[in-house]
Amino acid sequence: MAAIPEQGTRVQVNLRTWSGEIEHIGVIIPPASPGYLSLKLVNGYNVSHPVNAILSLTTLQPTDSSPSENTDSEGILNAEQNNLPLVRIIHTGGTIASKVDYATGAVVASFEPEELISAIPELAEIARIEAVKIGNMWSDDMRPQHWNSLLSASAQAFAEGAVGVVVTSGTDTLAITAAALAFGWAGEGGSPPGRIAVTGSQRSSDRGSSDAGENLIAAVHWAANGPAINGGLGDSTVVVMHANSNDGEIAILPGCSTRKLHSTRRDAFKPINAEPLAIVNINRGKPSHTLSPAYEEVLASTAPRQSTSPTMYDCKIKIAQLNGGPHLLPDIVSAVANNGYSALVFHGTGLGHLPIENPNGDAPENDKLAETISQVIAEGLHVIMANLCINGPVNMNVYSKGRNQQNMGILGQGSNSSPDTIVVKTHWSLSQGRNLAEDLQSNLLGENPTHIRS
Amino acid sequence: MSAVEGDVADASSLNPQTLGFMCGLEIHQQLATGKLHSRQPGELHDVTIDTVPDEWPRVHRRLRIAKGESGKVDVAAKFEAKRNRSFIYIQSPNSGLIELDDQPPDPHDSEALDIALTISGMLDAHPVPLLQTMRKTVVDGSNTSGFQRTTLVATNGVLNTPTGAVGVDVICLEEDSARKLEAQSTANGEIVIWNLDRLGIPLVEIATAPDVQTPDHAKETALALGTLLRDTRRVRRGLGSIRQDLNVSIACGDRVEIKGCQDLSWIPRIIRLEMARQLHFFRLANELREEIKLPLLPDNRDNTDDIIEEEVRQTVRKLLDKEITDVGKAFDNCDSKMITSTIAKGGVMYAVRLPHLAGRLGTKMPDNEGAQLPRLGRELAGAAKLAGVAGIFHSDELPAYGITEEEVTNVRELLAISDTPSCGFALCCAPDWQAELALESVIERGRLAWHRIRQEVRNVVVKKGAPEDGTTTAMRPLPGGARMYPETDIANLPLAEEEWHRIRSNLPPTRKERQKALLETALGEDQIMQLLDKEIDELFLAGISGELAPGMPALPVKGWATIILDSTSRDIAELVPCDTTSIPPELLAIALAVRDAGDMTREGIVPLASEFLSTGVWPFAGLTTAEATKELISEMANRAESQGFKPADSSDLLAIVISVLDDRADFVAERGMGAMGPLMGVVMGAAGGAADGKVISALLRQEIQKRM
Repeated sequence: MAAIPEQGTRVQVNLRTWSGEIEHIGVIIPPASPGYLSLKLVNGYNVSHPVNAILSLTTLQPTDSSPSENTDSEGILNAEQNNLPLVRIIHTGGTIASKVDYATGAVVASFEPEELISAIPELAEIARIEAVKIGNMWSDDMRPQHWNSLLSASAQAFAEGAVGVVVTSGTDTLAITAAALAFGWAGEGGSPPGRIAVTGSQRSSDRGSSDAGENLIAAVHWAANGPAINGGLGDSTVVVMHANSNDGEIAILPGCSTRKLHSTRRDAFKPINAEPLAIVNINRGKPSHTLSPAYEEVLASTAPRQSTSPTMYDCKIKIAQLNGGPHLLPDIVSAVANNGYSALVFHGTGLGHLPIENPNGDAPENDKLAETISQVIAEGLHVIMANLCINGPVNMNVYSKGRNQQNMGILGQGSNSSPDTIVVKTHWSLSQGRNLAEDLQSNLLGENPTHIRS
Repeated sequence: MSAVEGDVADASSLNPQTLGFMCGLEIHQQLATGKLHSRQPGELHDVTIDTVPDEWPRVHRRLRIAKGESGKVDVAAKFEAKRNRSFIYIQSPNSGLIELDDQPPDPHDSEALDIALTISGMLDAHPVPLLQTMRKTVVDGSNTSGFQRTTLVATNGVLNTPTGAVGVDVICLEEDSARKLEAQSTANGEIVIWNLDRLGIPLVEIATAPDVQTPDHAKETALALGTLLRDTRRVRRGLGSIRQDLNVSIACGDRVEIKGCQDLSWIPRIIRLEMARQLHFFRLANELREEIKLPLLPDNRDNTDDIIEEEVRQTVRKLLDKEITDVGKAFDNCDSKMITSTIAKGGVMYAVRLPHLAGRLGTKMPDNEGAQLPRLGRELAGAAKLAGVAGIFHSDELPAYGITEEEVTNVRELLAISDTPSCGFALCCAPDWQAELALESVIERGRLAWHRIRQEVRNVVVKKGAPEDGTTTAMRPLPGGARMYPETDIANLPLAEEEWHRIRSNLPPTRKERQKALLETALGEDQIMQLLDKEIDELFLAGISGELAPGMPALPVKGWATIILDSTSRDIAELVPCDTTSIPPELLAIALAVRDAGDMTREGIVPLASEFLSTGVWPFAGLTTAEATKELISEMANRAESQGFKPADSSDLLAIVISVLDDRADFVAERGMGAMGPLMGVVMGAAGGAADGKVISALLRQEIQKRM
């Protein structure tokens, strides 16, 4: 059998199948599986046969380039409309900007500004778009050092004249990134010099139904035209994603109080103990926003914050997270304390509870857990309570157990923050050498509101 | 005879051979399984826009059209974006997050895959050893995702038809689309409303090679494929469960895919009308070229010179520019209500010039058999409608529709073509952005009049569920293979060689083979055909051979055929009450066995069988042991006796009949044989349930006759 020519070669192949012999004509594409020859047929299907089924293979002349339909181009949209505000898009990865390579059928990332604008021409009518790529990673691979890169990149964007920044990210940890950027820019009472909108897509952008286009349009619109940052309701950074399963309605969510609550739906992102700041409606490609009454009121009654430079995260700080519930055992708590962690965040059940009581005398591990927690706190580990229910407050005053937990030195009583935010805030506070116990009680940038509306 | 001869007005006379006719079929057949890529039931909910339940959730979506490969914004994509079409998806009970494109798909339904492979085996095709799911881009909103999932299952098959073998290029397993409930034209763009019930039901797509020899052979091929598919006994049946697309071309035209040929008897006519249409537009193109001294199109598309065509394209592009003129003031005193009310609502009347096309747009004229003759005006209107407008007015059909001669003169003046009679025009009355888009698309289509017809997808015009006259309208350009790319959410699935051999050695019998088996049972032709049509011949054969259930006696041939064909199941179901399909055939068999043994009258079958079901006598898991079967047989016999359904001796019955007749001697004397009907019920009542109606009827007749 002849050697297989390189990808992109047009070939005629005679193959042995389980029912005899056949011939295929197609273009060689990357093998779908090891040991297979994969061809793209003229009808568009990819077909793969085992290499050892090839009887003969002939290289053919390439056909004429793609059919002339649809190539009646009327030119690229002009990105140089000078009176529009400048928005910089900082790309970290994810499928918000990808396209199909029709030769191989593969979905490839595309992130040149021209490509973005040609994919979503509406953007050029909203702002002058600059785009930079600081990585191409799944958001689930993100670490605090990547937050620092984003803080620097956004600082640079503002320094170079951008009125707003859009961060595109995979969606797994998108909301955590938004919270991290919020503390980095606004934790000490200031604010970023412009709006920062973090967005992504739940359905890959190669498909017609993708939410990527509208999310990006809304994010650029907010970055270009949103109100000055006030800090009151958590607007230092925002998460911009579909408000519901419909298109045309995009929620502007407080970056410090948002969580991904569904693995697949378009409207996976919901505010935790908070409300959307605004809704962006998109009609015939044109975005417009409506502020929530509460946000409007805060904007009218409070002056904008002063812009500052960002503060960074100390990547050496180690934080552990453990869930409360029937399987929480003391040895894992000891292991955290013995491995150089600075803080341990418990996601406690209910109002913030741990299995530390033994009323029937048949659960000695509970006694041991109480003892271990007291011990690791005494040895200097910060132990913080967050809410496994995700929504609602941590309230360790309601039951005696909660009060015991407070007496043991567990921090975080009374927090109305989302659990992810508590973790990020802990990291940020420890990075700045601040008083963590006090910070957890405070509302630094809207992440810990005094009341919960729904 | 040359390759471009023939009378367009007499489609039946066109000669396929000399015209270089080529034709292939694409058949889409729904499979009788659950959905292909979600584990939802494959059921249809026949609602209309007026009857769809309020509690079914609705989701409003748009589709973003993929940009061209060059990275530039192409015209088709821009057109889609501009027309602002949006979609409302109504979530039927058998659709969930996967159908809503809010969750990735599941792997293939294994039953559906098995059927697709079986069909591949029946068509002698070669299986694909690694099944790869692809996404086929679809932008009309019929798929929530913007693509249709499709998996190539086998290639290189063959279908035998009486006229000759037809090659089968591909056999695919794909998802059916959502069902359109309504398209609303709004000032803000079209809103199309879809029912998600059908979305994801498995379809087997079979595409033949262009081996179809004549328009009639196309029908024959469709029939042969339909029969073969039904032979699997695992396909859905009924209206819309099978759809035929026709790929048609003649040498001077090009490939056109025609959708919506549900009624096979229309296929030859639809094909011939398409041949006529291609011929007409070839002639028109050369007539137009001749007029402005452009090189003519060769008779055969294989001889097309791309460089010349590009030059023609550039010339025509300049000739038909997209300059749009507001001619609203020509209609200030218009009599047409449609026009005045649209303008009153903020709409506009826009116009474009159509140089050289005056007199060539045509008016509606029938061909020799009553179908609309092909004409450019209709194609232009079709192009405009894609922008969401109701239609256009063009110069060849004016004055008409409430537009006067004077208004036409004013329009020509405003367009500065008063002195150019060869220049036609088109008008569009709609909201401004829509009118503009519609007229741009009229120009795009008008330019194509100088060219060979483009490859496109067309739809049979349907009126009241049937083809209006066999003509078609344009839907969209024919998508190339380039619009297909891998479905990364579904893993490639290797097919095992043993699996293929298992399928090959278990192919279902054909209808002929089944018929042959039935002919050996001394059953009448009528009942044989009914058993085959209802696909219950296997049930019938199992019954008469005593293989229906353990311990079940062999059932009488006629009696068993009758009870599974007649309304017995329905009557039982009505009494239970339950669905007819949930009446177990084994229950019918038991009732028949009891009756056949002389332990129950015919009248006992329905009440006792329904009692078995409604009182829980019937075992939930069916008949699993011979003991259970025998027990139920004797239980039914006992109940027949205690409830008076045990057949009375005919001597007892005779006594009852005589006593009834004696009591009503006057009535019998007065009515004669006419007394029979009314007295049937009386005798039946007197005999209790224990009488066989047939026997009573015979006795009554005999006794009344004696008295006359």
